[in-house]
Amino acid sequence: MTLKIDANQKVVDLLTEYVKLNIKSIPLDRFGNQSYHDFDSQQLPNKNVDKGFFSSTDSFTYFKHYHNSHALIEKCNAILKAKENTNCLVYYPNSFMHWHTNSDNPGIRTYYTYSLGYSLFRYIDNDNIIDDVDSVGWTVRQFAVDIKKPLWHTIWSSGFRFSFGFNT
Amino acid sequence: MSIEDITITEPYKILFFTYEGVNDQGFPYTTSYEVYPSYKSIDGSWVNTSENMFNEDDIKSLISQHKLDWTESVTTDYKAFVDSQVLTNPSLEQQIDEILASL
Repeated sequence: MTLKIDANQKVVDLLTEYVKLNIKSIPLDRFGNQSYHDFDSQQLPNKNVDKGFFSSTDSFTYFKHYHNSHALIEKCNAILKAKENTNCLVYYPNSFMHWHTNSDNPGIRTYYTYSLGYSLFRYIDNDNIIDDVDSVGWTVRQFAVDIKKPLWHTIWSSGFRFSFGFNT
Repeated sequence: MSIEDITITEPYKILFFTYEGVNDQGFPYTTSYEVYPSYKSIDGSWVNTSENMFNEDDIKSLISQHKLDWTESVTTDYKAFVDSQVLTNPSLEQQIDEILASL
């Protein structure tokens, strides 16, 4: 099972503009302070964890214009025919989002992410752990969020990583 | 120097080394690798591993996976760092500038 899909160039252009507009608003007094070993040592939970979470509030922040309040994000919603933008998230270097399923918000989830450092999307496929490494620059993944068939996933990022989620 | 000549006495959490070789067309080149805990070549490609620590066999395996020709003339430069990448990574401001320049 592959999750990566081709990027919609119009969405990439809009999100690039969005990042350029908002990148200077990112607080620079934080740092993930996690290690890859911490990430790699995670045990898969034996109970559903719907929402993704970080070990510390220093590991992430949201862009200033969160959710659907920004015109550029609204344009992305329209192009992708998304019901909503689920997040405009910033991972700080050396941070990870723990195992979760997003099953509190079912639908087809599309993530546009931007990173220059090493970051990866780890997920479970038929009991196998798959490490799907981000491309340098933009990466797009899409998967179904189905409470009956949850996709467990967790994310590691060694550098800044910007993540934009859309739900259709 | 061949790959067998490389000695890594302790597992490294962060490792940098430089490889100097000659390509198929006879042109010399230099490439650098970073291991923490994965490694990447300067062309941006990455090879992931599930281990946080590396020993000599790990490094040789990684190099072998990348199909480097270690029978060519090689110079190596090992440097182990302490746990935190903070000491070696660019500042957050620098990283933001780098991102802006890349967009």
